[in-house]
Amino acid sequence: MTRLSLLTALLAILLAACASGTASQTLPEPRIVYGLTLMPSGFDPHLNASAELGIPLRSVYDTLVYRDPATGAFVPGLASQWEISADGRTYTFNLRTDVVFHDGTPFNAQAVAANLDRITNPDNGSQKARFMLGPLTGYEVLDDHTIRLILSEPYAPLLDSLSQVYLGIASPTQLAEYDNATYQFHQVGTGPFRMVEYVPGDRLVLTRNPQYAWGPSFYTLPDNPVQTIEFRFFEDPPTRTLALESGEVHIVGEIQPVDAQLLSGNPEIRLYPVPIPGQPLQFLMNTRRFPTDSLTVRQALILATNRAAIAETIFQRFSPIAYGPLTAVTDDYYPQVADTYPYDIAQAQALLSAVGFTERNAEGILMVPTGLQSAPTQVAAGTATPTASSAGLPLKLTMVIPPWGQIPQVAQLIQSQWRQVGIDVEIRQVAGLGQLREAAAEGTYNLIALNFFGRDASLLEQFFLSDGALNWTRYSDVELDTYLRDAGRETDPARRSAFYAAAQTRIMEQALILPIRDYVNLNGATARLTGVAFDAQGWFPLLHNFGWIAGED
Amino acid sequence: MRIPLPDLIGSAQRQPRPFAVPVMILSIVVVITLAAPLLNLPDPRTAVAEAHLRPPSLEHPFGTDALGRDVLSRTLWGGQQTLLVALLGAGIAILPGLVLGVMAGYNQGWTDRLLMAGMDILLAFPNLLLGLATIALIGPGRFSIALAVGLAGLPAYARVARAAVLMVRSAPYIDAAHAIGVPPGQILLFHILPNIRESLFSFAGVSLSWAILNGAALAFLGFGGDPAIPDWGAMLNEGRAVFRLAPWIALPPGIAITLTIFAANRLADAWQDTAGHRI
Repeated sequence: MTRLSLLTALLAILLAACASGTASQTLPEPRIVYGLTLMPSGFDPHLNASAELGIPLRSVYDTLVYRDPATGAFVPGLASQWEISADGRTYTFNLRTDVVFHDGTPFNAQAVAANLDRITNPDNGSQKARFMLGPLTGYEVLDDHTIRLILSEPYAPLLDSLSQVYLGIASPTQLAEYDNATYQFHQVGTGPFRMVEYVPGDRLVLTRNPQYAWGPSFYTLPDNPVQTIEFRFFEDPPTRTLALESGEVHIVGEIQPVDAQLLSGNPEIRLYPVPIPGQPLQFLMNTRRFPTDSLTVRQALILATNRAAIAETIFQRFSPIAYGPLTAVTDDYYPQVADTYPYDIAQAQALLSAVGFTERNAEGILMVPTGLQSAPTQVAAGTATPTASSAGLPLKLTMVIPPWGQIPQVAQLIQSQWRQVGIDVEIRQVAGLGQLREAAAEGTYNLIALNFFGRDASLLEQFFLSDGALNWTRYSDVELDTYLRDAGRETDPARRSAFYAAAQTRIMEQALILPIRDYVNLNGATARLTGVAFDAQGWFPLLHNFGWIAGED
Repeated sequence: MRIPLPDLIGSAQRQPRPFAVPVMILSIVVVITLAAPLLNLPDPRTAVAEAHLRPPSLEHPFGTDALGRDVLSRTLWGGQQTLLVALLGAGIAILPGLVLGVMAGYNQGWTDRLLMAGMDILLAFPNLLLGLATIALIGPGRFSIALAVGLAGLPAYARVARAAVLMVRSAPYIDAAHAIGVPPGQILLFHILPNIRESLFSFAGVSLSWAILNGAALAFLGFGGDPAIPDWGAMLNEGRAVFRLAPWIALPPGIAITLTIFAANRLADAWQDTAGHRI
């Protein structure tokens, strides 16, 4: 090699090094910006719990199985087929043999094992993935492409868990090379996109994996597929709409419902409202505190709430009204709960009088009677006995709410609606989940707002089992516990559905929650983006299907 | 030939800025907000879902907000809330700040060094950050905001009070008072404080405008506790979310905050000028 060519080579390397400072600039077009709505504390799907992380990472990883978003059916993913033993305790997966990770590592049963080891190792402190595996006790690698998962008892939600990004299969080479804190910056999966860089608080960049040929049945490559996606953070709701209109972002979720009318007249923008499976926006009612310890009072509160007005005013009709503890697109949703509590102020007032609230003060607020007797309709758990301090005072409920998801506005509308039946509400808005948990532990609330998302109805367990981690209703009932536990263990879908129907009925009979509206994620995207679709969990886009209509910029 | 020097000290010699304008603005703001209960306005907390986002009309001169509440009523009632929190906050900043600053300035020595080191540490943090830290510790609510605003303003006020005491402490008439055996308490009360009152008043005005601003900022961020209770800062945030559809929601509280702070600052200037004029 001559000296000159050596110099040229050196220069070229130098230039390349300069360019790599902005590695994402040289990635293939078309390139889009995807707006994320909050900054997760961590981006590691095995360890962190945020839903936001799945928006990019759903397409970096594949999962053993997938759920078809249209039918909800489980379809092959990294596992080409699987077999569940008759007793529901072992799941045997036959793995695909043609899959390689983005770093060239071949995909096999040992790779799955390495992932399971990482998730189940208690030292790693997995916030979500470990719990999704339920009573998993171990696995057996039968051969290079067969693995068997072993459970201590039947666990019906397992396939749903395995279809989610939190149990996405990462490259064992990378897992060995990086530790828990650094792996999130070097994530490698088998999915249709590979991760280029993640700069916390600024951006996360993905680019298409050209080798990808093992996607599930509903992954279809569009004409002119989007090649590079830069995720940026748009935490402030009003700015999302502005960024979308100005072209700063090409697709973003959680647009304010009121902005829909600004966008609907814009031919360059399309709205994609996506119903989210899981729990509706709901208030959990404290069954151990006066006066919501009375079933009659709880029923009166639901009857006195005009949910149609809330859905119309705050959610601009983008959300269906919720009637029970699950949204209508959740598995095993029981539609009959819709009949339990219509909006009926007269009935609400009659119920309140029946338990002794008859006197009103000058402002029209009901007075707590001094000698209140337990009403006949009450159940064993808690009685409507006013504490010494509240007797003779106006009836005032305490409502604890987080600041997100338009919940403060909903709370204020409810406050006004309930004043019409003579109930005063004090709203305590806290700053975040941590303070919400503190307030829940303190127990000095009548209502508290929290809801989780997920396609499988088993998410009811943590909220409604007597010993559930989030049993903020403080309700304890053998009957409800039995329905929920049996449903979790039942592998026959029809019988499982029946248990959940009974559980939903029981929850509403006991008026444990005040459901408001089914959650709908209002996404907006430029009309040039094609194939915009979301997975069975609702939150996560199928980036593989995203295409771009070329035109002058 | 002599070239006239620029009038570098002119500001101290020109006519003091008048009290009349800021006093007038502040009285109007206070009187109107205090009169809110007498004006027969719609209840500021009652949401009327059907009537949301209505533009200004005869029925609702300032329109309605996203929950159908009367914006005029919320602005007036919100003024009570905002001003009360600001006054409380300014009080929490000024009274202990004055005591600490005067103690440090008058005693000097270790008391001074210790107190001022503490104040300097607090001053190193931006005002609002200190407020946010306080809220994080004691939780949201109106009185939390007042306390947060007060604690954030306290170190600055203590610093100013100390500096003012130091200015007159070494004056001959103080030495004279010492010499004839006037007790320290009397020297402070009758000889020092009356001579620094303009500085103290002036900075109290500044503290008040900070308290309004910081209080509104914390309410804007949603730390006011019950969101139904109107407050200018919280209203600004509510209005901001729908500003393009309904600009009438954010404008009244925005204008009210601006006017009140302007008036409080002008009042501070006027006091400052009387001090300069007298000396």
